[in-house]
Amino acid sequence: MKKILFVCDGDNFSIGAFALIKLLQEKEPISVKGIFFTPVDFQELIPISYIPTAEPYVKLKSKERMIVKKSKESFIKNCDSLNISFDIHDENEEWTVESFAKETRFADLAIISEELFCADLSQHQPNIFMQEALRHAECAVILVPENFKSIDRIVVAYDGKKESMFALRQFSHLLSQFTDIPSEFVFLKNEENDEIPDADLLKEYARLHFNSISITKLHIDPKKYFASWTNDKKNILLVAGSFSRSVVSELFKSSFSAEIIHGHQLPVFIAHHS
Amino acid sequence: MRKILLAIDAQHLSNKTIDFACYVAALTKSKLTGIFLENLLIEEMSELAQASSYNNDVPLSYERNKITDENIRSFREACEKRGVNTNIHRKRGAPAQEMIEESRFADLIITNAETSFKKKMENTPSEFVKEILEKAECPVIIAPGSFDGIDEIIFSYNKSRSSVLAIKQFVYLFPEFQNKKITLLEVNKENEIGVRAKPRISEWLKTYYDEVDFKLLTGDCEEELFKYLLNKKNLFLVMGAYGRNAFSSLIKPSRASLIVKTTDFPIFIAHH
Repeated sequence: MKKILFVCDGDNFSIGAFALIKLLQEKEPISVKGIFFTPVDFQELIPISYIPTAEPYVKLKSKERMIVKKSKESFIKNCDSLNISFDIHDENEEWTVESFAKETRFADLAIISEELFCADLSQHQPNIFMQEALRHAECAVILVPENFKSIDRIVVAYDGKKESMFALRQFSHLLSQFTDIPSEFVFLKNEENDEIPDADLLKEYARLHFNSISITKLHIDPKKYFASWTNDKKNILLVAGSFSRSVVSELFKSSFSAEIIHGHQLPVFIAHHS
Repeated sequence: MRKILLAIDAQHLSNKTIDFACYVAALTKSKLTGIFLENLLIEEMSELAQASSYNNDVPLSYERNKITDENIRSFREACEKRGVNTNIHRKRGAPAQEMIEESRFADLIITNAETSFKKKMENTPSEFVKEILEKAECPVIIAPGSFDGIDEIIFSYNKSRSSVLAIKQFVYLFPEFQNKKITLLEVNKENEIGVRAKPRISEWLKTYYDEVDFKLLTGDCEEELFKYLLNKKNLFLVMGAYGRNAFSSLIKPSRASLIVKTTDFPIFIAHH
């Protein structure tokens, strides 16, 4: 049975993320661990830090804990209603990337809201907390938009490199229940020829794991146009291998999946090897 | 279904390795892809040597091709007898590099620890196997010398990210072993307390297996592992990155008399 992390900050309880959990449970029983942490609100925290007594800080922390408690209660109620086996992370509720990374080491998948994750700090996604989470996660992550309904098609972003194949392998091992649906392997490069790196080896691998495949080359600049290309496709899950830790901000800048996340368009499965 | 690659020296077929590879393929209902490797550099040197000796015999490349073709035929027949479908890739170049390139598009590599492409006798594991262990982009299984089935899975764990990754990769690749005896073997250095991470690894393993035994060894990792595994049979050992070094220690020449016993089980090695 797979162990899935449901990650929630403050009262940003994600309906979309939970809809995906429901879909996964329908395919096969899963175990879900809720990771809740208090919201980071610098606008409230900074003025308080100047006050020479502890009381305002204590009040703020108490308020934050109440917010988290409400999210936990929603989580428990939803899991109970769907008969999902669950657990709750019971340690210090302040966000630390180390704590998050440690939880992901012992999990199979983390599910995070593409729109709401730490949105109180910055609604421009992926914000700094999401970037941190994606870089340090030691398991695959799915970012889910709030309007998530279902998955009817898989799109694999393929560039012939180690990372994209690692993501594909992780997807086919972890979510084999989705390998029956139509799957498109897309190589994006703005050039004239039709060559796709190691196309034969890709085809050989894909045929063993997926029931219905197509391999396409898009002669477009992925950063500029991939988001538009996916825009008129409904209910797809994008599989990508970006957010590798070794090339931190530069990779992030050039990552077309960052554009998808920014547009909150579709769920993105991200797995990287670092 | 998995994509399983079997690394084969095109000039020397190992029936025992084929036996084990067919077991894995049949278990997972997978096709077995035989990667027939030929060291182009060795071939060219041999041909040069032959040419310079004014030998009028049949060219060496013809003989070598004949052996390779025969081995491919034998491989196909052996797999067919065991009910396993096959695919053949024939690679002529730098064997380790060829395998590493293939590994990007595979779920698993199976190889024999002695597979070597050097003219001189090598220590085990060979340079080829060491390079595969270091650079392969998918997990590697070192096939046993002889094989009689699997009764127990031993997960070697040292709290590192790498050892957890190896365990995860094994669990994802082999759900078929769900009902075997599972042991989590933790090896700590002297004076190190190794309990803190145990609840987390335990919590995760129990989502996959009903029962997991925990064993804690203290001391030098390689030494303690070797002592624990001595004389054990019918097990599958799973190791992370340090497995590359620990594996070499398990079959050091100094322990040659125990080689057959200590490597009489397959070793699954994965790293990030």
